[in-house]
Amino acid sequence: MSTKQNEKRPGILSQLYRGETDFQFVAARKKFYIASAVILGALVVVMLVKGFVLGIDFAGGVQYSVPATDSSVSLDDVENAAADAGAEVASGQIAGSGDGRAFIIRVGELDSDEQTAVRTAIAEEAGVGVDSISVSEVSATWGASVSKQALIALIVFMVLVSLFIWIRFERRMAVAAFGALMHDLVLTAGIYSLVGFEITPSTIVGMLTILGYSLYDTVVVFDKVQENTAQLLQTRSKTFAEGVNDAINQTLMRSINTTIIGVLPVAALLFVGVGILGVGTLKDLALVLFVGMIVGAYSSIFLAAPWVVDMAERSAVYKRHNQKIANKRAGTDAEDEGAKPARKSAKAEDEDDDRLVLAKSDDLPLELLEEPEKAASGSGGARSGGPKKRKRR
Amino acid sequence: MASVTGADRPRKKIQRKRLPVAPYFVGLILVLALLWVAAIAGSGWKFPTPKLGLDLQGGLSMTLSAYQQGTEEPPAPETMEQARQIIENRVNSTGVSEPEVYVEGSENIVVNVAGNDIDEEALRAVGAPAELRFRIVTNSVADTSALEEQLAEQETPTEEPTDGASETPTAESTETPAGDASEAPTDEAAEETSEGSGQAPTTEDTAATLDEVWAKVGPDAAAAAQALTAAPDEATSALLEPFGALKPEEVALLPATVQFYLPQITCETLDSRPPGAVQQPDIEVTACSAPEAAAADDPSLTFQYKYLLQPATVLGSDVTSADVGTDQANLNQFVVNVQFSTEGAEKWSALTTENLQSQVAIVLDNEVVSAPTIQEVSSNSTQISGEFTAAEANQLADQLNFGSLPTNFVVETVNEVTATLGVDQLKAGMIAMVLGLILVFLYCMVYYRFMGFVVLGSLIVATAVLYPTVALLGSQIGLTLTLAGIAGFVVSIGITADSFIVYFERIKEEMAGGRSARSAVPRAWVRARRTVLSAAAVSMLSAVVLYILAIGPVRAFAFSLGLSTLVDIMVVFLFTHPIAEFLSRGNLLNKPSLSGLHTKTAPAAAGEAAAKG
Repeated sequence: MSTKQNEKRPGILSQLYRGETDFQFVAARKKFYIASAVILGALVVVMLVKGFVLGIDFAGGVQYSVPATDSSVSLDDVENAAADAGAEVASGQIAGSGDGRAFIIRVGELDSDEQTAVRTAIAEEAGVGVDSISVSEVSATWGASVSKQALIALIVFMVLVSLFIWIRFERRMAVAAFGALMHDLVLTAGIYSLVGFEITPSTIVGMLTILGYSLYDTVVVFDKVQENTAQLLQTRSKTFAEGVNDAINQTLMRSINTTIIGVLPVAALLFVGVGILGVGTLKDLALVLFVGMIVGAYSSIFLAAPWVVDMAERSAVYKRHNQKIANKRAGTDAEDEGAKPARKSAKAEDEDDDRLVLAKSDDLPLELLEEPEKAASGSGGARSGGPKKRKRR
Repeated sequence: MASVTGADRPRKKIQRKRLPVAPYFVGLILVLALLWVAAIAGSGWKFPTPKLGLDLQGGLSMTLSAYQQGTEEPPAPETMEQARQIIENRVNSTGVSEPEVYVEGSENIVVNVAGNDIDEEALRAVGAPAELRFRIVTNSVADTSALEEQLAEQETPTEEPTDGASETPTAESTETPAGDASEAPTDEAAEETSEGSGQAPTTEDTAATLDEVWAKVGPDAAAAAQALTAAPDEATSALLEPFGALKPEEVALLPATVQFYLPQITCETLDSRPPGAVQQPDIEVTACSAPEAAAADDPSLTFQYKYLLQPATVLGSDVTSADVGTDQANLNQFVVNVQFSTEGAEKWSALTTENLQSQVAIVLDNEVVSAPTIQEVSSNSTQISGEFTAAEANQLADQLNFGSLPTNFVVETVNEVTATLGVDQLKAGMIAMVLGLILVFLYCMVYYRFMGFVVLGSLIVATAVLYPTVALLGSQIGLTLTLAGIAGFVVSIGITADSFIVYFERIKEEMAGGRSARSAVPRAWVRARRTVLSAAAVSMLSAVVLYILAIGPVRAFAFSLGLSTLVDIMVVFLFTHPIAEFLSRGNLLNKPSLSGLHTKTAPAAAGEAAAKG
């Protein structure tokens, strides 16, 4: 990440803490786009070449969880016992420790008679009662039907959430949030393929939850963007891109906190899921959430908000606005002297813009409540010293 | 009380917005009290505990999935509900305690059975497609083996009850077994059982083909059994002893006449045959009636009738409807009226014409539900009369209406968790939850210092709201807390804590702009509220969509996620916000070393902002 740091500023952590960072997320957005595109492209190739490791739920099979109280019995012994009884052992592992230590043996599909035979054989080998072995059996079609339902849920969720953001914020943000979501999905799936994490139905449904989480993050950023840019057009001080960049910087600590606070309990879950239980829903859910939350935080900062800028800058209103700011910055002197006639038409345009914006900004209760007259009437020349400046930046 | 002094002061604009905190706390306490009282009442005035899922207490959970040949369409909801009721009845009949059977999604039925002592084989069979058949009774005999056992147990040997068998073998019954090679019945029988157990390679214990069954009982017994055309005499009977040791699955492979004539094959064994054992309509079968009381004064003494039945010509699908009525002649007498379809009516009419005064057995799930005698020829409708009680008549009508499962089911998942593993998983979930809480609290303490306690307080309040809610939902609508559900709660710790972060960051921002805590806190709330609500709406949306559309254990995850989001909003509005307002009136939050809301250079930053302005 390129960090542009001003000389007088305190350390980066302290800046972060105070929301005073000035990272050029938006100006450098092309770099992030390219980086993301390269990573995504690479991961798509990985997915196509390497494919996914599918869990027991997709292939169908039986999982035995055998208490390993007798330390003289090894995992190999138990696996062999299962194989001798006619099972095709897919994997075996030891989970937990001490009293909770257990062998987890996965085998291919068995019918119920074979299952009983394998269970008995394992029980004898491990020196435990048949009743103390937990069995979990899945048919080969189960994973597919769970995934199908998850896919339906995904589509419904996408549509609803896009509508929500459209209504709550605006169209551009809905599109950007949607794009960020797709990015998160592909990236998470790619990481799964790359690392070779096992995919289970829980993983797939956990992915849906990530979408919620990733959006949650995006919504927090957008909320600030909307607040910062609501009255932007009435000022001459910032372009839309700069406004958005400020918003990202101001919410950066929030985003980081959101992600850390979200990831902490998931990490606890992951620790327990992997360390104590070894396998199962808990691990699958925690892992996918863990990966997805981090990816989601990245996409809302580096992709979603900059996309909004890209789309916004294509509109005429913002183009004019940018032009005015460019003019102002380029030649304050020249303009002050000779541009009085031109100023008039510019002012007329301003008022058009203001009306347009004010129509949309009635959801800013505090400002309007406290300073209604000023906000409504403030298209005068004293813009840059307007009341809004009291707020930071 | 702070609000009172506030109201008395001369007002500036911002003070008009000063918040009276007391009502919020009162509201919160009321909600808490209500929830706890309701939860305690719901659990019978004991300390409420959530209803634990099978993965946390041990038990067996099975998912059956409906499949219909040639179509992808899921069955209609009514069909699924019918199937659920039937499956529930079947599960109950396996003798497990308090099974839970519910429809999940559009095509799954989940069977949950708690406890460790479960006959898995029997449970697997509950989804087997048993269909209703009407079969003419060729022969019947009373099976008193159960009664003899009961009498022996009671050690009051009384005289044998009347051997109500009408031993009149008809011509038909002799045609099948004797000379015939065992091939045809073998194939059919094997097919029938394949539903329950699949084409298993033979294990030592259970014979899977008829030939193996013959081999198991020995050639002498086999020959003797196949030669039978009537009940065996004493000598043959001794020869047939090995048949008594056969398992129900093996018995199901035997020809119907062998099953019928051998006294060693009891009704108890016959009733335990794999489901669908008597389903094939075009072969002869043997089945037993429901137990009947042998003596009026002692209901525990029962015996059953064993019937030899002809191939079925009228099937369950020929019945269009059945309802309970009363006999025209005797209004105290309940009857069941049956309506047949056009095609069914033709078959029924033919059947009744040919078999006037014979018994016709209504066969369902390996059992003869009822065996009325045909009194007259009838076609499109018929009336079944007997010594029915209202309940019996209703049950028979139900069975006729949808006695057979309306669609086919396959076992998709079976999850058997031992009680030990259940306890381990519960422990693991709890550890994850506590660990998650501690991590989040520590982080907030480091980051927000004193405000970390506000986070802790809020999380405690959230827990105090969630716990009775989950317990209440458990006792009232049967919500079970599963491992996935616990995972949902753990994950939502983050979501809940995050709303506080959004709020505090906002306060920090306002204070960095040079405001005192007193004025920053209310301003921050207005903005943070919007963000929190937007974000919560997205979480809620994903939880609801997941809950409605997903299947499998993750629904529990979605449910707890959604519930936590609601509770989170409540806690933020009723606790975190008022307490922050309250604290802002003291001087606590204005001390940088305590609140964590300050920036070290706050005055300078404020000055800078002012200078810019």
